[in-house]
Amino acid sequence: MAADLVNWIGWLLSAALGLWLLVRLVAYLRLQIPRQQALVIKIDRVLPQTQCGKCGYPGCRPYAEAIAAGAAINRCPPGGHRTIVALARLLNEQPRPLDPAHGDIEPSQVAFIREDECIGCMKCIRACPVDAILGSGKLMHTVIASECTGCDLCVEPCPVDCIDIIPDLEPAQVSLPHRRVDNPLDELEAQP
Amino acid sequence: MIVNKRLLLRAKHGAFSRAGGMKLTSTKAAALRCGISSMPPPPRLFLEVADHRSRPAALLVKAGDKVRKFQQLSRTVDLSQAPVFSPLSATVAAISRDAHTRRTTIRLDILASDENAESETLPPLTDYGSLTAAQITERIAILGVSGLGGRGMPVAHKLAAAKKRRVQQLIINAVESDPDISADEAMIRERSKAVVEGARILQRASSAERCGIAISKEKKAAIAALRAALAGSDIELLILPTHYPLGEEHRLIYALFGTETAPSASILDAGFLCFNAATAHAVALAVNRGEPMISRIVSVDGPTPLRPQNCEVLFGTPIWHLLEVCGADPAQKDRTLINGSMRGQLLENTQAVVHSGVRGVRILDASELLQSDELERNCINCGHCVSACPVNLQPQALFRASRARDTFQLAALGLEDCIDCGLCDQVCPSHLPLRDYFGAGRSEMRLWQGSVDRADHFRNRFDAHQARAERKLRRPQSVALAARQSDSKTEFSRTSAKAEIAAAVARVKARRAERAEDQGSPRKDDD
Repeated sequence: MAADLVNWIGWLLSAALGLWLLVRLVAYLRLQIPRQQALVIKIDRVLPQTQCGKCGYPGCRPYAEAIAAGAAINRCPPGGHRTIVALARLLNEQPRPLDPAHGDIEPSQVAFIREDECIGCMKCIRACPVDAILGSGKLMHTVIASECTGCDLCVEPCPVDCIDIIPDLEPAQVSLPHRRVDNPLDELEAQP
Repeated sequence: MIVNKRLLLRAKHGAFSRAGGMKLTSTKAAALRCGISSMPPPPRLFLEVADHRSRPAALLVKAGDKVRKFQQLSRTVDLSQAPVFSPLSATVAAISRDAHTRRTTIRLDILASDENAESETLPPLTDYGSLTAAQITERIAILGVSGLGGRGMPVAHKLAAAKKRRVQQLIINAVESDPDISADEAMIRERSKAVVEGARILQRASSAERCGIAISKEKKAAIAALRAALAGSDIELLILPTHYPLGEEHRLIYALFGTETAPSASILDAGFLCFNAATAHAVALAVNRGEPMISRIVSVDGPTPLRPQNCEVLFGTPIWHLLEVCGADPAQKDRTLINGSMRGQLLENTQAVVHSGVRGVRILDASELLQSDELERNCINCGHCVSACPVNLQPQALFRASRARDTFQLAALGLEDCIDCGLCDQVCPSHLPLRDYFGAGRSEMRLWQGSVDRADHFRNRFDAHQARAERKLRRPQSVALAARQSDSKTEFSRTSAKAEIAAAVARVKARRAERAEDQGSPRKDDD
């Protein structure tokens, strides 16, 4: 009789433990989704939002999702070193140099329409992901420089090749003080 | 008048070593040997008017105008800027605007003849006690009084910010802990009454419960003058030991009251308000006499033939004009240092002028230059900078992060709390120019913040673009059809479109070929 009781208690305990583990597992999986979402938002915040697709993904948000799922962090040419360092910090990884397969580091740049050649076909306006091109059918178009991300998505659809990508005027480089003797360690330390 | 003994006691028990900083060798004595000298007016003044953050500066004069002394030259948008006044009767010779620095410079040619013709300003007051706090602030705003402690923030702006919060303690800062600037000390020796008067006015304007004048104990003559002026007043005299950088307001508050405030935060949050002693003097002149702020006292120091002294200088005086009047050798133009050897900067632009933020000018000795020219070595982790740092940062770690341009590390190490006192730079045995590195680090952080802000802006626009595209997809069939029909009238995307595009492309090609021929022919001649 007593052995039966012990047996029953054993069954009950293991069932309770199993149930508890199941509940915890479900809770953990449910929590994982918002956690992943929060990470994607954090990653998206440090990407330059040019929506250029040079990383191989159709925009910054998809690339952020891919990074959260384990993609390489060194595929964003418009972001350059700063973005790579930021991503490395965020994901606790080592910063790596930019993957040359996706392009070279770009200085800050904007699109410029040579207006006397524009035929007003609206193709670049449809291509612009941030509505930075102003114009109407059969009328000249122009780029609003302050809104342009320099993604160069408008260059390819233009039938008359009248769009140039030119460097932005804003200086984006900080030079370190130079009062020192040349030091081989410099190169190593300056690498992100 | 109450002398705060507690402070000296704290010093005896070594509390000040926790407040950070160190005792530095002072070079003030030479300049203090004589009183304040007033400079003859220079032939030309260059007044700078900065743009407001949202719009260009609004000037009240144009080139060719004649202006009188005290005449207002610029209009302000809000309290964040102080209006500019003409220091003397003059002709507006030229006005130029630099779009890059967002500054407008007004060149004034001084008229010798009618020097005393003054423009009317606000009438003098016999008793400021009849005014309310808001009226005093308004008077200060109209007369354009800015802080003279270095940052040059308009006094009315500070008072308006203080109005929203309860100010418990007003501090008039006469500590001037830089080892080679003595402008405030010289002024207090001669004009202590006006400083105390300014302190009273500021106390009334800020509705502060208590008011104290903080000064370091080695300024004996200035303390005696203040004691005499403070007789019978309830303003405290707060005497501190001689320590650099106690003149910095957060360090000062910690030394006086033991309250820790982050240098990146406002001291107003902790119930303190701080004005420089020279600012209090200017406030007294403005409120009582109705005089706008047109000059300040500048400490001039350097090797012979220059005579170290404290000069009362009109705003807009070229710094090198001032130095030449004091006897400096123009061959030393490339070693002019502004605002002291600790926090100062070498003057790159020899055309720079005196403004409210210029407290001292100094020409460096040949020996000092040798030292600063010495090449930097590697960081040896000696830790001198860590023990020197008055705000408990880790300069050697900040240096590494600045070198690696790691903005995240810089933020984590608290670069924004660096008060730029320069002690780490001075004690470093490897001659690392740490202040310059931190300056580069700050720029790097600013640039990164700028790019994050830009990215946020782009993301908002992209989201709006996507939302619109989605709305377009989801609209009912009839609306879409109507839109397509109206589109076809203006746009050439449908049937006739291809032919029209082809024609346009052909037109552009023809035009381009024509242009290529035009450009090509002279080039062929060259060949």
